[in-house]
Amino acid sequence: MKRIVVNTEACDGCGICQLVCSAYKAGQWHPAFARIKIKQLQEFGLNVPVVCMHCTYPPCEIFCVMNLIYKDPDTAYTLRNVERCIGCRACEIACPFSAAVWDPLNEVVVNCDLCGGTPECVNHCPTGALIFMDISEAADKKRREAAGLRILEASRGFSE
Amino acid sequence: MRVLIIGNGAAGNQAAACIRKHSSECEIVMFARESFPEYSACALPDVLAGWIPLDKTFLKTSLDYEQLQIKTCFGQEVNNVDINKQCLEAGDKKYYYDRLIMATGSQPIIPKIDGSQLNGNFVVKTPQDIERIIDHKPTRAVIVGAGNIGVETASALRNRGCIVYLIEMQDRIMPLLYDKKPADIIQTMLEQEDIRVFTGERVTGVAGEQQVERLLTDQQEIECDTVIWAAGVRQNVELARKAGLKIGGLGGIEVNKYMQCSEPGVFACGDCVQSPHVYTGKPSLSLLWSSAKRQADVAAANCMGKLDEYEGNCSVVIEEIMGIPCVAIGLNLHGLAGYETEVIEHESEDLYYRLLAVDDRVAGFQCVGSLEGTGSIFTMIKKGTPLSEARKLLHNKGSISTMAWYMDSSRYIFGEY
Repeated sequence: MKRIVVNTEACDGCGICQLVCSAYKAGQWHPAFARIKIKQLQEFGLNVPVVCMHCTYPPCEIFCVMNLIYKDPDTAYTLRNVERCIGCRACEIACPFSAAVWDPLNEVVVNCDLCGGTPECVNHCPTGALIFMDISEAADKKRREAAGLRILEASRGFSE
Repeated sequence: MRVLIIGNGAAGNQAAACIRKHSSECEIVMFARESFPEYSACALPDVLAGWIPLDKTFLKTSLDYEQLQIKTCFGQEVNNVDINKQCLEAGDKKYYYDRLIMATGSQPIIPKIDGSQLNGNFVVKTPQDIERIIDHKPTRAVIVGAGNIGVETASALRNRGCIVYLIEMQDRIMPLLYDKKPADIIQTMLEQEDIRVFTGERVTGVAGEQQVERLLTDQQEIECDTVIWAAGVRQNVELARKAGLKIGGLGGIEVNKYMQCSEPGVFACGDCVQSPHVYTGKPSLSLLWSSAKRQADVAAANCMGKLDEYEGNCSVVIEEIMGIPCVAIGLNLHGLAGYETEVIEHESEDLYYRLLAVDDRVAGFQCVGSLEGTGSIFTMIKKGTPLSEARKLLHNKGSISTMAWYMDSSRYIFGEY
């Protein structure tokens, strides 16, 4: 199960992922049409890309009044039969991550479909902030990093 | 194993699909009074407005049922359920079950007052209702009841070019969702759309020879050719009552958090049940699409022997009026009567919101003008995140870098623009 994993430290907020997404997915060149959004948290000096997490039990699927959101049986991506969308926007409220995105051109709500397995935003990310990797690996990596950090801290304390 | 499902609405179909996910062998039979496939009731006002065609509201075709290996007995009323023998009677036949799921739904109330049987009285519940309204060619319409269905129907008919009146008995529109202030803002928006809204008026009768000609309230007479009743629904619990299932004080079938009824082997979900509220824990009715689907998931899982618990009802209703989104999540002050409630409120030219908190927990949220951050507020209400904890998280760089979406809700939590 490969997903887009974000390395917040590496993101400098350039916004190329948004432009690439808008080009590939909406035929536009503007961040408003992108399915990936960068949250700029100025008070912390952070840029955090936010994109559909492809939840195991997606709340948007429950909230869709047209039953058009489904989990792909093979890849477990959260996908939409968007041609049936009536634009009621219920899934936007259901999503805790604000990752269901209003498409102002077609008046429907869309989400990241991982470009069918080769996400273009990841391909074009210049800083390596976006990584397409297995989520269990990603969790392992996080754990290793956290452990490494603690060992580092502990050894510092020791040498002092 | 054989599961019988009574009802072909959101709950019944979700339950069937969910059972099929758990087991490919389980025999599923669905019963329904109506003979048409599943449709989306939420899309009906859009059809009435002329934004989408009627056939788009149907979510399944008979082929879809076949593909999911669901047997259908549509157009057939279930006459009786015998819980001791685990069997139900439909038509002249008896069907035995291992598990039974009641998803009988609800129906709109047309009060028994003078003239409510005249030609020109309608409800909004099925695609046929919409067809009938369109065939009637309404020009002056009165909508009785300004709940979300009433408001949506009023907007839709206005879009068709009708002269539209909206009558509400309470002192504000959408009284179960919004407090007075936001309700007044939405009312002004409706009035800008040229919908004539009257609150605090009780309808006393409908007058006319063969046709609806006038609607009478305790304060005025309104000339009209169409009356649409959107003043509440009644749970379809007759079958359950006859079968000996416990019916709760609010008129819905009583279920526990596993969606189990008072008798073994029987589950219920959807409009016809009453279940605890996510915040108060008190029994409540939830007549929403999302609640029905979630309850159906729980009922289906438990009936296949997999443990799943229902978190409780939490209403989420979104309306778009003149392109401006209006959201109500959780309880309003009316629903929180008796609790000491803190109100965080903000009003500016293009945004109004209020956040209701009790004992450091977010209990309700109403917003006119934006959808930003409503997702994280909704999650907070569902999870019961303490407000103080949320504020702490929002000040912490480490936590916020992994939960950036939380930032969207910060303006509501701190009460700043």
